[in-house]
Amino acid sequence: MKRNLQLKAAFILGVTALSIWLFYPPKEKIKLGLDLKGGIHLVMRVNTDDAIVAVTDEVAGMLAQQLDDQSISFGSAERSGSGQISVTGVDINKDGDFRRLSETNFPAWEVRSLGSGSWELTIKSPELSVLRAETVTQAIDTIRRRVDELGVAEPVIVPHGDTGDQILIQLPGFDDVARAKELIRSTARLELRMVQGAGLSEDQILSGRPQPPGTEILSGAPDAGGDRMYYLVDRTPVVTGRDLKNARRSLDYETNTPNVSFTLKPEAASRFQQVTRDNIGRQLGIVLDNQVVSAPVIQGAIYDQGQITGNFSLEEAQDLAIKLRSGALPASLEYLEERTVGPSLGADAIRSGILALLAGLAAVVLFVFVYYKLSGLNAVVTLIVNLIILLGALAYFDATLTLPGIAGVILTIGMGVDSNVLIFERIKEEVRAGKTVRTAISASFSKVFWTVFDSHLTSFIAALILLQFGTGPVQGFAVTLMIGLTANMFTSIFASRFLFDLIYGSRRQVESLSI
Amino acid sequence: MDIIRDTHIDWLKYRWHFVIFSLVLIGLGALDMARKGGPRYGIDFSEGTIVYAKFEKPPQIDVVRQKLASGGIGEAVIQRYDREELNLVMIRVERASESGTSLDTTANRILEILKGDNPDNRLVDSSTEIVGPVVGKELRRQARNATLFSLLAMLLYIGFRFEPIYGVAATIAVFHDVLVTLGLVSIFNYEISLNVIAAFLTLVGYSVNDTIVIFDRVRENRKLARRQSLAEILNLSLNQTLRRTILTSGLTFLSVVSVFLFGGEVLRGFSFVLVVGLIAGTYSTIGIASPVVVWWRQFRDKPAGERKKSKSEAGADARV
Repeated sequence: MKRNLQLKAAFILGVTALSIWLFYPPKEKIKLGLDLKGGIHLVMRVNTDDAIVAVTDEVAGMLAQQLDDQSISFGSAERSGSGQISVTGVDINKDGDFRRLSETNFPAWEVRSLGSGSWELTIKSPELSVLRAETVTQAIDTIRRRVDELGVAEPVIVPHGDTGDQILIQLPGFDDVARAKELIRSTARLELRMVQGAGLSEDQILSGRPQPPGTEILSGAPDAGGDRMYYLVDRTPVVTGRDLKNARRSLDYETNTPNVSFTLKPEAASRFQQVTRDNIGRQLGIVLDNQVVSAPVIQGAIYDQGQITGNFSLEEAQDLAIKLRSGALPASLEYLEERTVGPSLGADAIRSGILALLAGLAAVVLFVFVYYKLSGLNAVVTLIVNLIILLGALAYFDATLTLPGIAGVILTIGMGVDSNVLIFERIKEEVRAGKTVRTAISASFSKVFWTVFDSHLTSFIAALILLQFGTGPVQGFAVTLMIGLTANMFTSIFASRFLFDLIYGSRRQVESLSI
Repeated sequence: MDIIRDTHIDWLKYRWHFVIFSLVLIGLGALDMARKGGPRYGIDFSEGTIVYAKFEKPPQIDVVRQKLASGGIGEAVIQRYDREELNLVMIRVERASESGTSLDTTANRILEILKGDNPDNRLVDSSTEIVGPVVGKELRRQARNATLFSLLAMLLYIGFRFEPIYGVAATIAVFHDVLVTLGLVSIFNYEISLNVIAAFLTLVGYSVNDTIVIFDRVRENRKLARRQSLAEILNLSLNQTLRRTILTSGLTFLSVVSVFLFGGEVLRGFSFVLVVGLIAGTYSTIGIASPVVVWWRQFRDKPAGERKKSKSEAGADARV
């Protein structure tokens, strides 16, 4: 073998070996999409307005506090819209002080005087965009923490679409949809708030009295009969989910029912101890997502331990603990799209489709071999090397193989077969025109090169654009197609030429060609 | 071994036959689509809920329908799905859920009804697809834009590598293939789903590949035979590459037809588009792309005065 051929052989074998190494073992290295493997696919919208409302409330509270501290008297400071606070009854003589204080302490807010002691604070629009983006990022982080605890392998949790507020979640191989959705969707905002009164309806609690300032009425969880209690609770919580150090599922020793116990961070613990000591005998409301889960009576001062009891099943208690550990979502979520593929459905059907495709390919290979004889073997080898490189590249780029991706593979194989057929037919033509075998081979390859180059580059450009402008499945198609086209150029031009040279190049005289 | 001898068919003599045949086919498809009120989008591109339910034993559609109806799911399409022995039922409701409620209300209700109180024929497995109203439209827009942009890029590249008219001709041929296939998809009642879109993209790639192979031969032959007319060169090139065309299309056809026949219900629409697209993509190079190039050349080569005189004829050519 000539030195040149040896180098080529080493290169081709090297690329093939590298590809095999990249995707071996295929079960681990080749990621199958949900449509092939089964699992859950969700698209959700983060209601970023929730977070803005929360921030607005928080700022309104802080502003009121600071006005008190600076003894600037005012009537009320409350949220008047999302991202808007209205302050009334500010001492007119302290207009300057009010402006200075609010502008220095809340630089993200536009301060506007409405005259006669009324003010309006509006969040600035760049801050608003930052806040929205942060909310989505936080939501993604929180969901990821929760999903990680579920033990799903390779979940996808990423921003989605152009609107900036959508999240795509894919949980391959996970099939308990109800559980996954509940775990992801619930905000899990835990608050412990002092209870001021309770009753069977909102009217019963107040019984004609006006609602005390700084309180609100929340409903309790419905009991087995569907009835529920209503509670009058403080607006300001004693402790929130952010104060938790840990939460885990536990069992109540007396009733043997599952519940969730939690521990508090030190600074929250001392605050909690103070409040519970001062309020022995009163009810403490455990509020989860604005619903009172339970309202136990405080028996004595509690330092950093607590329990949430309710009618939990073992799994519900487990999931609540996960949610509390991973923190509250900054905003509520809305489902836009949901797809689940059961373990034995869909995935199986598609797998049988792929088997059908493979059977078709086997027929193609058989035909090529019979039709082109020894040269057909050449085509078969290049097609196999092509597929090996494709799989290796898929593994290397960490791409996921989906059904549209397989469509890309089909096109690649079609074009690969075409390249081979083009070359072989051309060689026959050249031989018929009276050329010697070696010149025929060399002339055919150099002529067909530009055909194959142009057709492949055209498709490559198109795929590049699809990758840029398309969404999920279209991109999956584009990725496999781009990889496949590159592999095709390598195998059907370079590797195939090498094989011809290997067989016919070393002999002194070649009289006939097995084609 | 050769499948056929060298051929000397005058393909371009039949150009009107090809074009009229294609127009009739596209027209029939358009009529059918108009009659059915536009293309039938799968759930990916519209709004709704689909539940695939797998039962232990062969399910009875009437029983399922009755149960769902008494459970408040009235307007649903319920049918057996895929192979008999899989015991599958597909239930499709057009809307995802009533406005204001959570997206999965309908799906959950359906599953609840199917699961509950069914000791003799239990639900074994299920799959659901729910698409809200926002997503479908957005997806449709994106898929269309991505395809149009990529077609434009192909046109530019082919125009640059060959001549502008070749790029235009290849693009017209691809459009032809997409329209013919869309029409047949409508006539045979297949839905346009995301997978079907992937098949359409494959069709586009295949058709362009086929056209480029022939045009490349034309490019080569034009250098060798400068005296011959373009129509003659095109005919020569088509005949020279005919063996390759038959072999490649035949081989690719073999694999997509096996998916269509044995791939099961899920892949039926997908493989249908591949099969039809493969035939259309091969045919359109001969029947559409080549005539377009020849007509353009005839139109351009006529002196300006003559062009005015035979306005009607030239107009007809330019239109195609």
